[in-house]
Amino acid sequence: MRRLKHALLNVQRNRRRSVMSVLIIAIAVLALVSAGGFGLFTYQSLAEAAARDTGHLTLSSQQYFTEQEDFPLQCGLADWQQQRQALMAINGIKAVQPRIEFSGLISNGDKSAIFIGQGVLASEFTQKGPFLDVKAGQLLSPEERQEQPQVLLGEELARNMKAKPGNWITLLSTTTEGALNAYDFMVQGIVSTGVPEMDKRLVYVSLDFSQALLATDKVSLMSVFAFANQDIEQLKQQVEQQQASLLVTPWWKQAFFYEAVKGLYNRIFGVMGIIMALVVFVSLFNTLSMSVTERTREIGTLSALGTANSEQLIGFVLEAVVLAVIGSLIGLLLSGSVSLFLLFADIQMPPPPGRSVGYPLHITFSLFLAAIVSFGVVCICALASAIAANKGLKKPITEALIYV
Amino acid sequence: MLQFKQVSKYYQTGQIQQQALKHISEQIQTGEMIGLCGPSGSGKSTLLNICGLLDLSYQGELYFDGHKLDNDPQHCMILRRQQLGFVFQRFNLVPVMSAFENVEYPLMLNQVAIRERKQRVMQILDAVGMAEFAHSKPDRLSGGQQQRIAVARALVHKPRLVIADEPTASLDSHTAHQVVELMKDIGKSHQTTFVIATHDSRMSEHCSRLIQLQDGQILAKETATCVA
Repeated sequence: MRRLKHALLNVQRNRRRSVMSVLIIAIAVLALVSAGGFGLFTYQSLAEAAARDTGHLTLSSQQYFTEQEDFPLQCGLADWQQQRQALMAINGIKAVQPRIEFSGLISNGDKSAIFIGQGVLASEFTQKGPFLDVKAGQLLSPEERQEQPQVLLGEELARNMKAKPGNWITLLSTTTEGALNAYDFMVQGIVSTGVPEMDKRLVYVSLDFSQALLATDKVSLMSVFAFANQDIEQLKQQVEQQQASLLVTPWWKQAFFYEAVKGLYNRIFGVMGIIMALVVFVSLFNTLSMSVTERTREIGTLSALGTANSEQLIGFVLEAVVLAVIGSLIGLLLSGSVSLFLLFADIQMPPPPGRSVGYPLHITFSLFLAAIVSFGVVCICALASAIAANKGLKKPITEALIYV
Repeated sequence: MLQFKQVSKYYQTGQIQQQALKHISEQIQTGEMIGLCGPSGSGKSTLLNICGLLDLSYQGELYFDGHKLDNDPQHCMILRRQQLGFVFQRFNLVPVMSAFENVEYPLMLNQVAIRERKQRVMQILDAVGMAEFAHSKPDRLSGGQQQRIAVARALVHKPRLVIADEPTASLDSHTAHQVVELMKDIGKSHQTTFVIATHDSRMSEHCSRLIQLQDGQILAKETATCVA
């Protein structure tokens, strides 16, 4: 306690210099925690989006992702209804959504275009939450209430087809037998995924109508959605045990964008962290070198009285730690305030490359990140002070005592 | 108490080597108050630094209590901590510590128990007439008061040898007299040996023996007032 008291008093000796050091540390902590928090928010958002898109786990046949199909749904799941029922018995699974992926031609009678279709249960839309931006009309009605086959079109595709809700369009595709088949669908809604390239081809229809179009009972794959806070790795093992014949792919294996962004951000924040660490180190080294030089005679006096260099070194390190702790606390407080402000201030980021909609600027305040950054800053300050103090402590006592 | 045998000291300045002390041999008895005097550059401070085990890079032999010192910095540090006290010309009190804490510091280094520490600090502060300023910081005290605190710090752990470098140089006559009397009184009761470098005739009058240095050699050993 006495050492801490003296460290605090020594820090107050040159207040302006200490305030500058504290400010530099606070700004560095603010920058690192905020930048890291933005990264974490981005990772979380991308992870959520990826898991919402594909489900936490994707169940398919073993060849589905590696082999090219000779005909539609060659690698599809035939017993999906039984498998789905069995999967729902596993604890931690919230829903299992079957899906058919298919493609073909869409026509309004006057012109045609290529589409990429998704056959899904209508419950998937409520299950996933707001992942589509409904531009016009509505989402697909539940299967039992669909008197006519309904279709959702991507915004760009609808514009190309000059289609509006209530219009009829024709989907033409190849059946599992290799024959051509066509169905008329009523446009139920026009949606946007936020990715213009996707919106040029996107078509959503009900699972049973897509099966009818492809003349099959199979589905391409099943998406497993887990409850929040569920350990996905553990769930994957359980599902693999139960469905040994199927390939179980976790969401991160399919989230290429997530991995790429994470890799990029980690590098950017890593470089930024190193630069900030250097700024703190140089600043603290400068401050403490000046302090050590000013106190050369005091160092000589204490050495003459029989104080070991290590004891004096601890004193200087403690001063640096005091500065680092105060600076870190201020930095964390500022970072927390910024996070809180952004939570309420609806500031939008511009759309990322390849997307048409921006996203809200939020900063996740992570206690873990705050602890890591603060610990790092304390270590850097301690190191800077140890190097600075060591220089002063190496001076012979007789020289230190006459230092002016 | 302290014995020098053929002690020499060289300083290297660039290519030039200067001899600050030339084969000094001298014996200092317990309880003596030795005054080192001589003009600037005579070697007073060098000899004082060697006496205080602050400068270990000398040639010759130095005996402390009959034991030859091996110039081991760690051993000398412990000797300084336990057996030596220092009074400096410019007081050299630690500014962030109160008068009490400054005086207490040598006792802490010697790991004296808290209760005894408190008692001994208050006792010596009382003896130097500074008890009422125990909680004052050095910058709140006058030069004379600071030097009293410095004397208390030098004597609180009952050292066998006190090294004082011009202890009265920064003080007015009245305060200088008080400080010298104080050192003598407290030193007498503990059989403390003093080695004092001084230009000040007021100080040298109180010394039991004077060693006059010139050009790194002992010019005379006497009880008379030094010639500065």
